[in-house]
Parts: sequence; C-alpha cells; structure tokens
Amino acid sequence: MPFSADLFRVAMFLKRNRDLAEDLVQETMMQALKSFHRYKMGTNCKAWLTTIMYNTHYKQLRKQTNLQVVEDTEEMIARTIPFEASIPQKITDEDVLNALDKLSDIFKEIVVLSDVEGFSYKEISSIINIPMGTVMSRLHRGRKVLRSELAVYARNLGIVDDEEENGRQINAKGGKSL
Amino acid sequence: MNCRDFHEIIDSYLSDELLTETNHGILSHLEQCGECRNEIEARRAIRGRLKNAVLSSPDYRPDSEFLTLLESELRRTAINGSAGKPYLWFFQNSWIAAAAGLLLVLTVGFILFNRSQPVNDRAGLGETPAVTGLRSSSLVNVALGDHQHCAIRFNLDDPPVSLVKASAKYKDLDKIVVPPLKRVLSQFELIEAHACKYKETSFAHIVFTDGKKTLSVLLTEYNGNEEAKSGEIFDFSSVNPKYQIARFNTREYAVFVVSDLDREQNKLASRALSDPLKHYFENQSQIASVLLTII
Repeated sequence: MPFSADLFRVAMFLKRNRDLAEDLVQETMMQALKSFHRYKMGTNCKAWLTTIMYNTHYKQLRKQTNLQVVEDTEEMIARTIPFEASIPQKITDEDVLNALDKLSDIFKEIVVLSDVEGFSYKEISSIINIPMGTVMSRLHRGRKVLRSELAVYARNLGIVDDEEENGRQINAKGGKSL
Repeated sequence: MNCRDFHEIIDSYLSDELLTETNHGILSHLEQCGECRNEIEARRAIRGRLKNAVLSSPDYRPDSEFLTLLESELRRTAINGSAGKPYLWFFQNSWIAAAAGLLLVLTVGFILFNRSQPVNDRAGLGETPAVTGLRSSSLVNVALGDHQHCAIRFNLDDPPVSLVKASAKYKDLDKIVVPPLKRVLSQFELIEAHACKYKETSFAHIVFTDGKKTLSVLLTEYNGNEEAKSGEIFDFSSVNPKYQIARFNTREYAVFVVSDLDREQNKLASRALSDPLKHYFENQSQIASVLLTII
C-alpha cells in the first residue's frame, strides 16, 4: 500500500501523535473505499486521498472544538520575518526537522505538502480548500520562515556569524530582497 | 529579468509551476548571474534536505504492524461492505437510531391510519406466518418475519439505522430500487429505506406502499448455501396465501420481495428489480477491487 506511508506522514503533521495519526489514516482509507465512485480515473490518487484526509481531519476538529477561523494569520507571521536568511549547508536532519517544527501550522502544512509530498499548487489549493493565490503566498512565507529558522540553527552552531546576518538584515531593510 | 524578479519566482520555478516562456527568462538570467545561480542551487538543496529529513525520520514512518492491520481491515471492508460490526452503530449513536426508529413508526403509522381498507387479515398480525415446509430459521421465513415485524407491525428489538451507516455498499440502494419498481407498480411510493435486524439477520429494507398494500424489498448477505441459485427467481407464494414472497440472488446478497399484492404483481416487481440490483452489486465489487489494487 504505497500511499499509506505518504498519508501517515501528512497525518503526523496534522495530529502530532502517532495513535491519532494512525486513526486518521485508517478513517481516510475507509472513507476512500466508500467514496471510490467519486474518484476520477487518471487523476492524482495521492492528492485525492490527501483531500479526504484533510476533510476527515477538519470534521474531527469541528467535533472536538468550535473551530475558530483566523483570518490573515500570514500577515501576523510575516511581520516576524526579519530578513532574507542565508542557507546554511552544515546543518543536520534533526536541525531541519526542528526548524520545520518552529513554523506555525498553516505554513508548515503547506511547505510539507509542496516540498515533501510534491503536490502542485493547484492540488494543494484543492486539498486545503483555499485559493491558489493564498497557497502561493503561504508557501512563499513558509519557506522564508523556514530559512530564517535554519539560519538561527546555523548561527547557534557558528556556521553563520552575526556580522553576515546583520549585513543581510540591512539589505532586506533597503528593500533589495524578499 | 533582474535579480529581484528572479527572487520573486525562484520557488515557483523549482516547483515547475511557471509557463515555458517564464522558464526561458529564468534560464537566461541564470546564465548571466552567478549570485542567482548560487541562490537557486541553495534553495534546491534546502528542499532536498527537508524532504530527506522527513522521509528518513522514524517519527514520520508508519509501523509495519499498523500497515498490516490496515490492509487486512480494508480488504475485509471491501469484501463485507462495512468496517467492524455494522450494528455497533446502534450503541454509538443511540439517539439517532431512536430518532430513525421513531420516524419509521410515525411515517408508516400515518399511512396505515389513513388506509381505506384494512391490511390483509389484520387479525392474523399477532403471529408470524411461516412458509410451510421450510424451517422457521430458513432465510425465507426470517425475511417474511422482518416484513411482518418491521414494515407492518413496527416491532423490532433494535431500531433501524440508515442504509449507508449499516454498509457502504447500500449507498444509493434506494435510488437503484425505486425507478424499476415504479415502472411496474406506478402507484407505489417509497416510504422507508433503512437497515434493520430480525432474528440475528441483518437486512437492507426498502418499503413501498400504495396506501393500501405494502411491499418490502429485503436484502441480506448470502452465504451461498440457501435455496435459490444466482439468476433464478423463486416463488414461495403458493405455500403462504397471506403473503407473496419471491427470492433471487445477486453476487453476495439474497433479495426477497414480500408483499400482500397478488402473485403476478409480486413476481413482476421481482423481475423488474433482479437485473438492476445484480448490476449494482457487481459494480460495487469492481470498484472495491480497483481501490485495493491502487492502495
């Protein structure tokens, strides 16, 4: 079952708990079995299954709490991005995962869906049910925050020094870079 | 294209989301700009690092035991039509089940109340008539009992549940049954479509009435050892004058048409339903097989 490992990864990002992620994968697969007549042959089956997983996840969230929709969280997060970070080369996988974990959920899920799971912008738009423009802006900002977080790890390891960082911050303020 | 434009779209380029013309612009710029070449390589590298970090992390890898269980559960569901015990739903959603049961009683009760003629031999409703010559545990007699207790007398131990809750394979079952039945019995209207249980046997139960007479279509999983062979329609009417009973089999189900119509009308209804139901369940099996091949 090749897609079950992919679904489990996404479920882990959504649930942050192995048992809950397993339940979500199982419920997704069962739902897929029931709804298979809706699957269009030739389309991306992994994207279809992931969409079902998100719908199932949202349904569970609605049951658990009165889900509060936060508008334009991106704007708030964007203000926390101080500069165009450098890309450190000598960091470990653990550093990368820790940096990813520092991202807020709305950025993390979209970066994972794009850069780890390989979905297109259009597929992500359909999976999360947000406009494609929002997918693009969240991806842009999510990657930027990730790079900043990685730069922090690099600085702590002495890979990027403060002087280099300060120079970049000045450049960013001058409006040169994204 | 300048460096600022390049930075704007560099990630979309790496995600292969740009038009061909824009890709050409990127490549032209990269030929001229060493700094942007470094930048794109660095961003490509960080994506690779991120992907590898997630894929190689045991935290994001499912246990093999879980995958084995999941696969067997999916296969079982694809074959049996429902995960776990379908009637567990009774206990998990008892208030909905109660509401469904109440609705059934109110709906059918209203229709019976407004009947201008009594149901055939009302005095006999206190007993469940059996098809003579067959054991009371015979599937035919159990189906007849379900028609009596559920569609006529509304007296079951467990309240009915929706078709789709009982089994994914029952989804749209009412839509499959209604048109062919209406073609041969145009005065009959659908009044109930649910799953119910009688004498430990689960049925998908679809009830029709014309206001005077009642017809039940009852489906239950078929173990292959009962009376009728696939494709044949068996008529049990001659042995029980109160009810007309016909039976045919689809691939996995025994289907009973039970009514207080005359014999020919009951057979007509059975013939009308035989092919649509067979095709419906064959399609369901094919869909399940396809899903199991791709997952």
